[in-house]
Amino acid sequence: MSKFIFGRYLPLNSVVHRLDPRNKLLLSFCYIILVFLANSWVSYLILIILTLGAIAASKIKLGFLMRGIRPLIWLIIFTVLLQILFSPVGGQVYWHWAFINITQSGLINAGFIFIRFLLIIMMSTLLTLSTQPLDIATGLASLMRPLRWLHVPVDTLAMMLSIALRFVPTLMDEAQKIMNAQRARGVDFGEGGLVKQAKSLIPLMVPLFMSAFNRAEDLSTAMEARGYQDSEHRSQYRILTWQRRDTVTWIIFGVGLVLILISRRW
Amino acid sequence: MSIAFKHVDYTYQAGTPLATPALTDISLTVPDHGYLAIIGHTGSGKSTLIQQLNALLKPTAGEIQIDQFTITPQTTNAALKPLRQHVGMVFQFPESQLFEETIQKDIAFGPRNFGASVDQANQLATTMLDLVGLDASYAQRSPFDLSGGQMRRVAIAGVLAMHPQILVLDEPTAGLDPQGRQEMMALFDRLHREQGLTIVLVTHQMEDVVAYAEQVAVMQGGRLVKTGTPQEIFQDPAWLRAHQLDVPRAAKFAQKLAQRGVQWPAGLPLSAEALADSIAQQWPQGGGTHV
Amino acid sequence: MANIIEVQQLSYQYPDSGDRHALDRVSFDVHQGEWLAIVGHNGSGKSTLARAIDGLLPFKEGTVTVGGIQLSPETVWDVRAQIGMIFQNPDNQFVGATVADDVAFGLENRQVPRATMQKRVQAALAKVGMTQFAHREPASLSGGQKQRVALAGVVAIAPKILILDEATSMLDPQGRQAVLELVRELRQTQQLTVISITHDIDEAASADRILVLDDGRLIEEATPATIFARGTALIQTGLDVPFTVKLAAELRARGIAAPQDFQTTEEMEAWLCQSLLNTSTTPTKQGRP
Repeated sequence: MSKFIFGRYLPLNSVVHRLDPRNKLLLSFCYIILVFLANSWVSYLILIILTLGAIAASKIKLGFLMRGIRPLIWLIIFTVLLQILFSPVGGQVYWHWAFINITQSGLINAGFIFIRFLLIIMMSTLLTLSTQPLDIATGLASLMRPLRWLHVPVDTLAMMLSIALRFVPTLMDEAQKIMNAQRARGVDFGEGGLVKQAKSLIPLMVPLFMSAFNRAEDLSTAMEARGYQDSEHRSQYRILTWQRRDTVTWIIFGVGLVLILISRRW
Repeated sequence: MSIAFKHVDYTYQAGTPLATPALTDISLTVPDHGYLAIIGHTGSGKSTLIQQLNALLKPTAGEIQIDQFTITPQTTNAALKPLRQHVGMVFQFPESQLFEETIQKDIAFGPRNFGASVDQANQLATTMLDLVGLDASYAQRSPFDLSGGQMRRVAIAGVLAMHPQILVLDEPTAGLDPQGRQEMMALFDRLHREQGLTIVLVTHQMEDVVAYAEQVAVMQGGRLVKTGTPQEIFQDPAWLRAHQLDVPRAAKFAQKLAQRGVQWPAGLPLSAEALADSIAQQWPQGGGTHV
Repeated sequence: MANIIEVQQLSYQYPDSGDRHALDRVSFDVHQGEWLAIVGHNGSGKSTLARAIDGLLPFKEGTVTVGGIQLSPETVWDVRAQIGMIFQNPDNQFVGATVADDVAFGLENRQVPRATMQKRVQAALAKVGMTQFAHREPASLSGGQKQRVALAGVVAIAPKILILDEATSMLDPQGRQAVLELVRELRQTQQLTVISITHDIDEAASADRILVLDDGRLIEEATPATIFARGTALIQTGLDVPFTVKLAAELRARGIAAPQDFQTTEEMEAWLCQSLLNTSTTPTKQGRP
């Protein structure tokens, strides 16, 4: 659990942390497009420089970030292997057996895919490490705002998401407490066969759901008592402000885009 | 000796960059059939300490002896199951551990896990229900239809049904009304006196410590800063306040009188009874209205 | 003194509870600016009563009038606007992701403009002494701190009435004391009328008046001194026995009678000092002060 870094937030004080979350979401999205535009070694080099630059600016240690990628490494290796073994014939053939060909173009493609994977995972890990979950939620809600015109209850969804995020630590705590109590009553979590393990979850899940329902009921009463009627007719305390540094990121992005367009094989 | 801690350390997430020491060099003994109260400010390590008692957490250094069981950092989980039966744990707000369809099944859950037959376990459930003051008509009801106080009794019955020799209580009266608190503490006292259970009580209620405990351990910042009898621990209200601990009402009151010149030759009285005794001894003849 | 709340013949039954009334023809008034404690053992209907006053329960019999507005489905938001409520479980009323967000929640609901909101959040946090925690998440706060944040949320919307629904019962002694002291202070500075539902003897002692509920019925209405004078029988009303009452009972058992039915700590201290130290003034004065 504690080894899994992807999706966690690391509170540091850096430019990247202070960027507008909307901007970070948009940048991450456009970055992925950039990754797929790149198709030559030089263009990948430019991407790698951009990525390392962003990480350096975030003050997050590269080693820490790479550890977050470790759990995903098997997925990457698997994809890369598929690419090496089953790519269509092209260039020099190094090895051939039945329908398996290891070719030059296959190896090069696999190398590109490996880099793409790595870059996208690094950048999205950077996004979550440098942005509070709530800010991601607020940013998403703000970006989705135009959907209001299609009668999508954007504000209600944002409120739901924010409350869900707020209660994650509370419920994790609760789960730990219940697990302790049941272990003290002789339950062995995570031991025995599949059926036994599944069965041992009942004494955890039932109390956890009961508690969650009770909390939900209390919370809705408290919200009503505090004047909450619906999410549409409210003012906003937490707002996002686009600042100069956000504009600067797009200038850097623009430069990167131009460089990649130039260096890419057409 | 029922419980003996020897230089016990515990660190959360030991060996990671997030390692946080929670217990440092704890040495402590509780005699057979003893009654230990652990007091300390919130976050002082009380909960971490009691989780060592049935090895929900294992020490990262040192050794714990609990009757015939020895826990060291190397002890395997398989060796611990009998210990879990030996040491009953009543956690804070234990009613949150209830999950079965009927109260009987829930109380029988612990004994069943430790190998009791259905009949045996149900028999135990009936006995325990009576012990915690709920009549047999409750057995087939759902635990979720009960009031908070009743749910807590059922949860405690579920722990007692495992026939533990040591009972660990983490603020067992939190959130109950005063009458419920009194009844609950009286129940534990009865178990202690009549069945010889060793009791370890974590509490903020200093009155309960004075009334029931034989031994007090004061925790601060993961260390044991003082141990002694209630009489010894509560003699120094200034020290207690400096450690953000409450002083028993009677001691507070007696201290105020002392500041105005009243003497307490036998030491600061800690309960209303002891205070009244001391006052009666000093009472001037004919000074009060006798009834 | 004007009445800020008037409750008349209020009855309520929870669905599926048979004949049992959670509230049974309860009538009482709350005076402007007073501190009213409502006590009773668990399940006596105290919390139900608090919820009914805030329009959180759809009662059918009786009337509740708050600040001259009679509670009805049409007026419920006008009634709630006058009341700030703090509940028992500190976690389950913390809506915001951070302390500041939570304090702002009530203001957002009232569509207060952002600039005003920022000022009021800051002022409210300063008032409860939580300014340095503004950006903290609830998981990193103690129960007492969370209740102080909840109080800041009330201060921010500046209601006339504060209802504490066992707000200190889940806190440790330090947390409880800090919250109580804060309530006492806010009551003065914000001119609040306070209704506290409680088992805590200190909280009840802070009140001007105590209502005792039993099985949904209002069985007594008196000053703390009168209620406390009941002695050790107090525990049946869901309250703890005050220390002075316990001590007086113990002394009486040893043949020493206190000069009056109920003494505050200070009164008892003075009486005992006088008697024990044989100071020159007349030993005891009889009757009530």
